[in-house]
Amino acid sequence: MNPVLIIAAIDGAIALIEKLTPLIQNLAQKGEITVEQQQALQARMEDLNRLELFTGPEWKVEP
Amino acid sequence: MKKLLVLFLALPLLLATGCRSLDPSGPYGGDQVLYSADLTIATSYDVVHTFVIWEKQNRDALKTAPQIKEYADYIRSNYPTYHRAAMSARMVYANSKTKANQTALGLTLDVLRESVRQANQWLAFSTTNNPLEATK
Repeated sequence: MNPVLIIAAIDGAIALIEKLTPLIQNLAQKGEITVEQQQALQARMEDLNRLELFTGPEWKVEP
Repeated sequence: MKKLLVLFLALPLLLATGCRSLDPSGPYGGDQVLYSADLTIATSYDVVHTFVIWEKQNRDALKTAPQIKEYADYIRSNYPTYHRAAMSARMVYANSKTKANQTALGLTLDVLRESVRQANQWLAFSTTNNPLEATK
């Protein structure tokens, strides 16, 4: 197993954990999905509707 | 590591279709379909965005597995269209909650889920050196 690849994979896992932890915490809660949680998701959806969403350098296809 | 990644990435999308009810006084008015759709769109974007950033930042390390860049480039070229299709179908359903519009929305969400599944597959693949284990 290539140690460089393992480090890269761990790096990816950490990035995902950082990004998805709030969502998982939200989903793990019991009871009704509150008004505030719904508002937070709606705000996130407005953010995801921006035209410049895919214009960052990470979205450029490079040789 | 591989099992951890598979579980971790699958969890949010599995839970997104869970059985928690919505406070009907919220902006979704108790509409589980719309809430679940939004959760899938947002989560899918987060996973795919993390994947393309990760691939770019680790490109040198991932040179031994060129299929990962190939799939990342496929995502870069196609995911924006998938995302916009899902957003559009979501808007159509939100404005007219018919069975046909719900089905159309579901189809666009399936495409997002498939993108996440494959991104997960390539993330997991990076922990192995067997090119046959993950297939596009």
